[in-house]
Amino acid sequence: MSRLKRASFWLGLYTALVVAFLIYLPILLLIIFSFNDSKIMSLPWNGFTLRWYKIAFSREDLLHALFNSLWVAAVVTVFSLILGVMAANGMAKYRYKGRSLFTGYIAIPVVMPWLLLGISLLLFFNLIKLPLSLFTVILSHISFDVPLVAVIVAARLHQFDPSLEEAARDLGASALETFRLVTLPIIAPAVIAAGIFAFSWSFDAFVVTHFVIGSQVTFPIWVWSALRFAKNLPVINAISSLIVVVEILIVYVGERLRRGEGEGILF
Amino acid sequence: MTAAAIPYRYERWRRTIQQYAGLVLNVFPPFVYLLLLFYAPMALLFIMSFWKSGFMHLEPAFTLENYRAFLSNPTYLRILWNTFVIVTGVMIVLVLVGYPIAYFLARMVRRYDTLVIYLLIIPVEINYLIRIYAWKIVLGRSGIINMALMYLGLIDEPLRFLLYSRTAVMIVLIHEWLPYVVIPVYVALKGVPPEIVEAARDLGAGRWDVFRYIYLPLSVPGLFASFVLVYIPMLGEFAIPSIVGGPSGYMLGNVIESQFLAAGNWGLGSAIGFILLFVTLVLVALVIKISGIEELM
Repeated sequence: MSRLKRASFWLGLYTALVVAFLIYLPILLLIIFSFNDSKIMSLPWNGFTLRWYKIAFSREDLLHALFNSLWVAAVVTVFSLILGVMAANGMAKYRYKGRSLFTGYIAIPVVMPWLLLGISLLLFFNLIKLPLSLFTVILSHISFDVPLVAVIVAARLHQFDPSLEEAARDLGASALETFRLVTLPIIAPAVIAAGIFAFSWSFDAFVVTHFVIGSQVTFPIWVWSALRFAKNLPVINAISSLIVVVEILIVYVGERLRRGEGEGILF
Repeated sequence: MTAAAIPYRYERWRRTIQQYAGLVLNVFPPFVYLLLLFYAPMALLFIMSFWKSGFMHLEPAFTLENYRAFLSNPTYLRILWNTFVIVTGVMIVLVLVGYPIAYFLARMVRRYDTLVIYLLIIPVEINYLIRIYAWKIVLGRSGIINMALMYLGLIDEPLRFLLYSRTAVMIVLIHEWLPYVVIPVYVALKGVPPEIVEAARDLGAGRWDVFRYIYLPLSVPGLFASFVLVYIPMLGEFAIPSIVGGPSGYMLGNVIESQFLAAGNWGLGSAIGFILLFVTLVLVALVIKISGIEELM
């Protein structure tokens, strides 16, 4: 037993060290240095300042990019939820021939390298002569968010007892009423969680956006071009730290909802 | 009797039709959307890789010129090989680093495993460019690692290979993808029924036997899932090598990106893109063949 305890101690220490250094160290340093009164991101510590945050909020280009990202993500989330829940129904609710084929059809985009999606959409928009803009960005984000929503919601639907819906129908509820009053309340946590993840995927999407945005700017695109100039680095630090904190809160809520009462973890 | 049977039969037919209509209504819209904005563009990538390239556009034709341009250029082939080496190396490290963590969380702790899983999921959702950039603070010439090593007197000059190198690309890739390896394996190991382990114990199996004959085989689906989730997307990476890579960390994704957005040779970009797509599809098909699609969900 003591050998087991010793093994458990070393593995625990190992896990803690890997999570701390490989996953969290850069993120924590980023946040700490955003308060450092220095133009370069390194020691020595020159004292605490909120200067970079003030500058960040006075940058018109940055605020414009943030605003673009927020509304693109909002539109993308709405359409991805509608199409994603439909796809999840097709994957988990009905029994039919070709169900696993449909599941594969919906799920394959999840593993496709985003670079390939970006360049093929660029070719596609070019061929149909659709000018690149935030509209093409929205169309592109929906095509990687729908599979994400579908996979999360389908995982929940798999545990759903179809006799509940049949009972509602037997008692005279219409198809829409059944969905609104029976199905939706049960899958709601998964749908809200999927919505949060879909929003954050769209908000953070860089690779696909990079190819289909033309001359417009979203937040990740702003970061990408700002990274080239050293004078921007403290400002990127400040705004990034702020976004990191907001994202941690949002994702925590999303995870709580998605997992329900100790359900399995997908990603 | 018949009077009652007619509405009953009618009702049953109505149910079936409604079920069928519901299925079609649910399946059709996402099917069409992905057909138009995912599968058609992917097919287009294949077709247009045979078109004649102009600057920032393509003209209908059938030529193998784009493929020839790629395959006859030793620089591109070296980058292709580099990409394969980086991605495979990172995948091996990820499994070696991640498996013990997954095993520890799934089988050796009772209470705090979900907390650690949260801690692994949260950074995944933090902006990807920001996290890549944050590594510069750690690996840079006056970054934390160099500062610490110099302070301790272990080195006199900052280590230069830490940033703008293949090492840097690999470190950041490991940071980026570790959760996608740990979590599927954790889920697979967590799902091993305790009765099997007890039965094995009763039959005299030692700790190593239990691992070798029960946990390891049962975690294979999790390993497959993480392979699909990690290895394939890593093949298309270009932002990490652009930000922390330098010349030795250059990957195939960088070549594709620059062909599309800087060099303007879309034909060459499409040909390389299709080669990548082909590799992706072969790998996905292989994994689905071995483990089945339902296993991966």
